[in-house]
Amino acid sequence: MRKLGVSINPDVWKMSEDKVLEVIRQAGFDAFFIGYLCRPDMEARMARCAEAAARKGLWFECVHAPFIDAAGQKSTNRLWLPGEAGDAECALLISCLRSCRKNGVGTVVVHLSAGDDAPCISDVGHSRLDRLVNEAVKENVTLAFENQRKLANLAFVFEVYNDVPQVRFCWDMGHEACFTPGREYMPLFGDKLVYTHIHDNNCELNRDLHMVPFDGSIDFARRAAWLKQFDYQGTLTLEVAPKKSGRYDGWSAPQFYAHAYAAACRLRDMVDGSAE
Amino acid sequence: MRALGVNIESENWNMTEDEALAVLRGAGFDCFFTDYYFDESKVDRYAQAAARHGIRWESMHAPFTEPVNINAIWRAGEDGDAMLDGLLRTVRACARYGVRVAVIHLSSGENPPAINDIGHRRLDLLVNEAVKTGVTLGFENLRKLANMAFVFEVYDKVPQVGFCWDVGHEACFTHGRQYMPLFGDKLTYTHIHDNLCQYNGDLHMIPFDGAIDFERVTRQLRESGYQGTLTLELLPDNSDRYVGVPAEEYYTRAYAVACRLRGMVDGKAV
Repeated sequence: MRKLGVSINPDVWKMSEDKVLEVIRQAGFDAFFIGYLCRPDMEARMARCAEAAARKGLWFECVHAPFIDAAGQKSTNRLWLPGEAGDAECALLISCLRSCRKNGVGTVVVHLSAGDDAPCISDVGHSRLDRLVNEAVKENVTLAFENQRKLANLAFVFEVYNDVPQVRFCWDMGHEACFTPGREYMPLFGDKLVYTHIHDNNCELNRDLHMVPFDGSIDFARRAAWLKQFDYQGTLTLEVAPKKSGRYDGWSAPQFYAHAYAAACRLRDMVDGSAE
Repeated sequence: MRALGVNIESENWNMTEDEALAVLRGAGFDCFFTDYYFDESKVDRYAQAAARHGIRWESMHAPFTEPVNINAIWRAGEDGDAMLDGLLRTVRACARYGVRVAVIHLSSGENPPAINDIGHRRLDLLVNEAVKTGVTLGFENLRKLANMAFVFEVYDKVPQVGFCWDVGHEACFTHGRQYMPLFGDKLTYTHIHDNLCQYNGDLHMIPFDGAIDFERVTRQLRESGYQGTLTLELLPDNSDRYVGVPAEEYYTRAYAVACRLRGMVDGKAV
């Protein structure tokens, strides 16, 4: 049966990685991903996640590459601008990638920009992406570029690196609905799909609520149909955040992840058409 | 009633510019477009003929194979500068003769150079010229998505940057990709033609002679609110379907089809 995965954020629950992973395992999930943060103990966190995952029989499938710096500022756009800050951003992405390799994580989800006024494609950004992609090929870690607000940079990477198996697409269903309503990414990049970020919102511009599917307004039947059409066989991964919407205030972690798992099962049923 | 247009190249029919436009006007077309000609005496003859026959010259197709291949705009060096010069000449000729739109290709073939700073700088110069002259640039869909998305993001606030929807290219170069949901809000011009929806079979047939779904095409035009001309881009020599068909018959047939399309878009009897 197709695997179901979910994002974890131990800091939100004020729990250890081990505790959160136990909660999601009890809920029924097979796989998880975590964000690679700009903090001194991130390598230790990665190692703890890998060790706990192995012990609990969970698949540490993916890491979300950093997109916020240590000062809490969004940093992705620096990739496209000349200067040391952009070089540092590239170096950080490469560090994340190497950490994935070291800890047996096969996929890194990468943002290409942030916000409506992101810098456009540039030579310096292209050369940094070349370095990142070369590293991904060397380490055999998949880079899953995720849809945000801009189309050009995503189309760019899939054209420039069309023949690189390690360059693939992460379909973020929630972003599609709230950042770029009316644009559908699967007809454009579905042949590159390797990972999913599945979450819900009320389809209001820029309100990226990361709710559990079926708690918002997104048409998941349509999304399931796209996954079927492109014969996606990978994990259905929820990227859900309990504190962004207010809907789950007061919920415990076990309650939240049980709810999330039920939604994931329902989604799997829609995609695979099998009884649970 | 919405205007109907078509392209013509007089030399393809062994006609003068005047004879060619007489045929189009006689068939019923309101507008036409041609390539830009580096020999601007030809441009001048078209302008005079258009005025004489009361047919509006709506667009010029900017060069993409001369003086060099359009991909040169993305490469450093003199070839790229020469290609930019060709594009600028087109815009200036449009301005001089009151032609509204210059249709621009952004690349050629399967493996053009990637978007880069030098191409971006050249596009800046082109867009600046368009703004200065009030000519609209209609960027046309070919094989690549990134460069189209790039211009519409970079120049999002520039009214002179628009989209030319090439219905035929969509079907034979990028089958499965639909451009109107992506760029329909920028639509300024159309290149409507048919083919068999086979990869690279860019046949430029009269609509309904091929396999393109014009119900979907006209629905997307209607839903976009596009009020502009429906322009056919036809090349009778690209397929063998029109061998021996004289110009008058060919364009009369094309006009009837254009009227049918207009009826489908605008929901009115023609």
